[in-house]
Amino acid sequence: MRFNPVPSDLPDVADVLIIGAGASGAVAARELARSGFAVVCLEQGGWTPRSEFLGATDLWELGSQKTWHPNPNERAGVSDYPIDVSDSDVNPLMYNGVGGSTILYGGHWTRATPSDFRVRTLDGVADDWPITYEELSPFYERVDADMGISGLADDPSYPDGVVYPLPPLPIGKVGMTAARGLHQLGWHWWPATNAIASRAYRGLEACARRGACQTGCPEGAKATTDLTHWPEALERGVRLVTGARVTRITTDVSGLAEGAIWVDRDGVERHQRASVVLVAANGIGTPRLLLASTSNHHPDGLANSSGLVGKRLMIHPYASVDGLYEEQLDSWLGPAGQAIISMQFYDTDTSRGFVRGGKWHAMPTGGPQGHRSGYAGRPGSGQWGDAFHGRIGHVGHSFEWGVIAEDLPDETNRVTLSDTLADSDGLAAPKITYATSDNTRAMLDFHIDRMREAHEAAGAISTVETSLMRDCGYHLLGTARMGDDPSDSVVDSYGRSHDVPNLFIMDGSTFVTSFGVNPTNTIMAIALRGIEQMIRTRADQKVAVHA
Amino acid sequence: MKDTFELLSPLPALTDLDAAGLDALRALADAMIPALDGRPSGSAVLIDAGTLDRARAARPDLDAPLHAALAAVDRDLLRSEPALALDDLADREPTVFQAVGQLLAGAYVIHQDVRTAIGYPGQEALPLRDDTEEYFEMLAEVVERGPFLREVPKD
Repeated sequence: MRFNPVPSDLPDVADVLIIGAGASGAVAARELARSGFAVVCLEQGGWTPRSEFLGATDLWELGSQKTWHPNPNERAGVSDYPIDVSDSDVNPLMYNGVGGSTILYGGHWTRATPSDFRVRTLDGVADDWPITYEELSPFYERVDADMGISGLADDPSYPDGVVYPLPPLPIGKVGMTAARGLHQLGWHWWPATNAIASRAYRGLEACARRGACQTGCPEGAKATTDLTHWPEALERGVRLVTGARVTRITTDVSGLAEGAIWVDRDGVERHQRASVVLVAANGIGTPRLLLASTSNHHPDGLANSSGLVGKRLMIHPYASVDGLYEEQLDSWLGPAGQAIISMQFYDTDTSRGFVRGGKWHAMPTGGPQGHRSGYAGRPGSGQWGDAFHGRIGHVGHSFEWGVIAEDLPDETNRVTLSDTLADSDGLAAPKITYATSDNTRAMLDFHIDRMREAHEAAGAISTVETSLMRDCGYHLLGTARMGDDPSDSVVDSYGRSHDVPNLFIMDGSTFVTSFGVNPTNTIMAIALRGIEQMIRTRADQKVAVHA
Repeated sequence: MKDTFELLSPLPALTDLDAAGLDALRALADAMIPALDGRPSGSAVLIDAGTLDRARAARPDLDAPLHAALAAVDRDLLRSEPALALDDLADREPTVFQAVGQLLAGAYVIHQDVRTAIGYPGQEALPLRDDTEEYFEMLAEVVERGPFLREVPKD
C-alpha cells in the first residue's frame, strides 16, 4: 500500500470534505470536481498498485489467505482497524484504501429490482424506500458506463431496457454446467453481469481470466474506483490525502459540521475545515465515526437524534453449496466474478415459510485449496494424510452456488463503540452485534436445499454445504438509513442528514433494506443521485461559520 | 517527505530451524501430506525441494505457529502413529494446527510437480472467448417464458 506525503497546500476551508475514497467517495469526488468544487478527501489507507496482487504468481493462494484476506481482523494491514465481532454471527469484510472494498470485491454487479424498494407495501415487513427503482434507474445506467460493466441485455427478471456497455464475459464450463442444471429444472438463469471488462475500456484492461478477482486483479481488468474514478478526480484537482485517519467530525456553535480531526501516518493530529462534510466510510466505519463525534449539540453522536445511527445493520448472511463433478470444469479460470445468476427464488413466496429471498450466483472454486480456503466457517479443511490428496486432486472439478440472502433490518443488529478495543490511533473500535433471524435462517435453509437440487440436476457427484459462512460480511448496510421522516431515519433520500444540513452520508449505511443482491452498484448510483442534488442545490446549502 | 510503501504491520523475522526441529518438520510434513499415487511426499516438496522457504518468506506470520507446532507435537507418536499425532496436536493446539496446515499445504501446491500431477496449470492468463452461441438455445427458453419479476403497484 502506497502512501503519498501529506500535501502542504490543502485549502484552509474546503468546499467539501469527503471521508473515505472507496466506491461512493470516488463518485462524489469526481462529480464535485467536474462542477468546480474545492474537494479534500481523507482516506485512512493508501494506493494499492496492481503489481502487489498475487494472482499471477504461484504464491496466490498462500498470500490470499492473509495479505489479501477480506476480513480486516485477519489481514491486519496498516490501514485496517480492529472490529469486535465477539457478539456477531458474521465477520464484516472490507478493504481500507483508495478504491475501498472494490479492491477485493468479486465484481458481482446485479441491480436491485423494483419490488425491492417496496417491501412494506408488498410483504408487510421492514420499510419502503423513499425512492423507487425507476428513479434510480438512470443513475444505475450511468454508473454502469463509468465502471465498464460486462453483461447481456434483456434479462426477463428486470424491467425492459437494461443494457450494458460491454458484451458479457464467457460463462465457461462452470456456467454451462450450472445453466444445464437450471435448464433441466425449468428455473430462471442468466449470464451474469460483472464489473470486469470484457474488452479494454476507459483505462481498464480486458479480463485475462486469472480468476483472482477477489484477491485483487493483477491485470487491471476489474472495475475498481482507484482506476475508474480517481484518475479524473485527481486531474481535476481533488486533494486526496492518504494515510489520513479521521477521528471525529467537528461542529460549530450552531451544531453544523465544520470539518474533521484526522491523524496522519506520523501520528500528528490535524484539522481540516470544510463547508460541507460527506462521510463515505462504509456501513461500519460511518456509524463508528458519527458515534465518536459527540458534542454538546450532538450528545448521542452526530446526526443521531433518531437514535438510529449504528442500528439496523444488515450484512447478507451467505450460504453456499459446492458441487463436485466428474468432468473437468477448469474452475480455476475467471472471471470470479459470477458466471451465471438465478433469480428463481428472489422474491417472496409465503408458502416457503419466510419472506423475501436472494440472488444465486455460480462461481468457480479457484485453485487446489479452494477460493474460500482461508475463510472462517468453511467445512473440512482439517483433512490430512490421504484425504489431503483427495481434496487437492479435485481441483477444477467443482463450482459454488451461493445465495445473497436478504436479511431484514432489526434494531438489535447494530454497530456500537467498543469499551475494550481501539485502533492504532486510540480510536474506539466498532463492536458488531449481529444475530441471524429466524426468517433469514429459514431462507438460507430453503436456498441450500434448492442449490443442492440444482447441482444434482447438473450432474454433480457430491455436494458440500456451508450453511452460514462466517467470513461473508462484505455488504455493510443500513446503519444510517434514509427516509423522509427525521424521527425514524438519519438522512433523506439524497444522503443529507436531517439533523445537520451540511453533513451528508453516501455509502451502504443509508440503505433502508438490504435487497438480495450485491450492493456496490446501488451504493454508487445512490451516491451519484445524491451528489448531483447537492450540486444543484448548492446556492441554498447551509454551511458552518469558520472563524 | 517521500512516498512510503507498507502492506502489513511489521512482522517478525524468520527463526531458523535446528536439526531436531527440521527432523520433526520432516515427520510432520509426511504425516500431513504422505506420498500417494505418484505425488511426492510433503517432506520431499517442502524441505528437499525448498518450497517451504519460499512459503515462509511469503507468510512470515505463520513462522511462530510453525515453531509452536514443532514444539508441541508428540514426536514419538508422530513416528509411530502419525494420524493420532495429528489428532492430538489439533485437539491441544487447534489454532497452531490450523496455521501450520495452511503453511504446509500452501507450500506443497506451489511446486510444479504437484501441479502437474493434479492437472492444475496455475492462475494462467487466457484470452476471452465468446461462448454465447453455446448457450443461446437454452437461454432462449428463459426469454420465451416471459417477464419474471414481481409487479409493483404504482403509488
